[in-house]
Amino acid sequence: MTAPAVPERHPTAAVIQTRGLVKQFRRVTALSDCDVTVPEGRICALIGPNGAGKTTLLRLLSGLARPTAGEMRVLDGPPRQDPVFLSEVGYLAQEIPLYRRFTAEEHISIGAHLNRRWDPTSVRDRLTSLHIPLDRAAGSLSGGQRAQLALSLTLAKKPRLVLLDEPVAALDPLARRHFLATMADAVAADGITVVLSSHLLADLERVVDYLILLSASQVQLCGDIDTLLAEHRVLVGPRKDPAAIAKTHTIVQAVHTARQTTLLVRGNAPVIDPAWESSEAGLEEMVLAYMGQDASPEISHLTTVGDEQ
Amino acid sequence: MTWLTWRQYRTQFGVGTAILAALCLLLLLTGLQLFSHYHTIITECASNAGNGPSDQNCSTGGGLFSGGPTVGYVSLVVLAVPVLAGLFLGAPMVAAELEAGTTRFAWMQGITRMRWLAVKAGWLLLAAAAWGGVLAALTTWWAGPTNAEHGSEFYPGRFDVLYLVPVAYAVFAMALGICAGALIRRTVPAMAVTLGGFIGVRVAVTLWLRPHYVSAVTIVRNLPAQIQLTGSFWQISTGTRNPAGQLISGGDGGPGAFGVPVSSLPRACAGLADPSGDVTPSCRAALTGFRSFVTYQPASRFWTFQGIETGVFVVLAAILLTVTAVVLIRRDA
Repeated sequence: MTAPAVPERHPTAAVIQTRGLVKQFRRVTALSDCDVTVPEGRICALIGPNGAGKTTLLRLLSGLARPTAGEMRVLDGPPRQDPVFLSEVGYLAQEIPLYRRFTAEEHISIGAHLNRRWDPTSVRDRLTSLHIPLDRAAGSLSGGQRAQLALSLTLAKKPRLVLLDEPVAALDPLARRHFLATMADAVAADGITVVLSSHLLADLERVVDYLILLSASQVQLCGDIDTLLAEHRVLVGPRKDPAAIAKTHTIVQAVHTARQTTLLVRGNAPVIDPAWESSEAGLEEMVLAYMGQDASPEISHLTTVGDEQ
Repeated sequence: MTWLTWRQYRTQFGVGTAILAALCLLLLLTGLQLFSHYHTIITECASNAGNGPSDQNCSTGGGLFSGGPTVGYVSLVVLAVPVLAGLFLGAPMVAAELEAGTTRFAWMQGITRMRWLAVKAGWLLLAAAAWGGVLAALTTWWAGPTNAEHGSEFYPGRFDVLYLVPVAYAVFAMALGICAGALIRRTVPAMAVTLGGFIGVRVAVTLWLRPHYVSAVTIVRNLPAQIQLTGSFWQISTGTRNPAGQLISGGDGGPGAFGVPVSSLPRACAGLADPSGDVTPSCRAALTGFRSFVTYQPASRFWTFQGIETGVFVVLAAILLTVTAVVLIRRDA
């Protein structure tokens, strides 16, 4: 715990591993029985409707909050308040916390005073290239500029793991692209692991290769996106009871119209009944099927209406 | 961390220093006036010394300090000042950062929350001690003539603004502010609790704890003998009891004789309405069993009491800071 960690000791080691993680706030269960694994070097989307427990999970992983029950390993051990762990995890909260009256340059100085590793040049270069002034109070910057500043500061720690909570929610589409490009550059350059949350996958689809799907405080999916897609198929056939399919596949979602039935199923067993037409599942399709699965009407409404700006 | 603390509080430190400077100026101006007045009177008395000791001005200092408005107001200001640092620097220290969400920034840098708390609280406590110290030093100087005249520095209200204790009060107020902010997590309610808590604890300690730091001394005399005490002692209670042991009067002065209304004394002493009148033999006999008493803390204990009072508030501050540390480490950010 005192020796500096050697980054590529286990190339395939999980950077995040949780087992039976539970977080309870008084009577509300924010996260229940959460098992997730994220291998090193991945960009992981943490997707789920509002209130699914995304923020809670990220706070637990960052060590800012403590779990009610369960175990976690983040990097080399449980999240803890020690300088080694703190210097290797970068966390950006949803509200983009910055000192309103401090300039970007002053934030860079704070980082320099509080961190062992610190790369001020990267922050200055990035902000300059985005035409964000270094000498203005953070409170007077636009939401997008603040998010860029906060992300740059998070990355300047040179962390091995970066946790970003709804980083693009406050950004317009152009700023969103800049932000994700900034992040993707950093990942490519330093081989870090990133978990970023959103309630819409479309926001992140272009940069992520790993997925955790939370819904109603439960983990619905966790894995490599390509692997997950290969495990799911869409079956379309005349309207009928899908009981026969349920014997060989897990039916995630069944949609019935007057004449036909559309199923999203998990499992690679062959479909023998020729009445079903089988096709590959799209990412959006799969995610929406899981989100709608046991969500309340209110929540599914939110997920289909989309990102409220 | 020191840099961040300085950067975050430089405005407040500036304002605090300005307020302190203004208070110092006020004390300096009124203090110099008091000193010159006092010395004039002393000189006058010395030159009149041969004319007899009955000069009223010489025994009361011309009434200059007895209840003069300047003395009263300045004492009030100096009593209230230690809490200010706790209110405006202490209460927001954790609470304002929690409200702004910046703890989620600060606590994810490469230092632990313990370190964050220790450095920040450390500097603020130091600032509070300096704030209380400068003020105490000046007030002690300022109160020199009044203390010399009245010997009242052991009395509540005066004891509290002199020497060491204001430093301890300021440190306690700061710790109280920090702790209230960490527990309540909102600045304005934390400030209210700090103010209420400070006043409550100060009053409670002054009224119920301080008189018992060391057991008080009680002197009892048979009437008509009088108790004469000199020096800066702290009189806690005084009165006269009749032969049955009942308190027939409390407090000082009052009409009659021996601090007791004549109606409460034996009939033989009725002639004593004139306080300077001699006690007749019949009255003297009738007074057998009447006792006057004074319960007090002797002047020699002044420094012991300053030390104990300082200790009490420093220990309270330490407890509050420990609570703060535990809360910050255990609670979710």
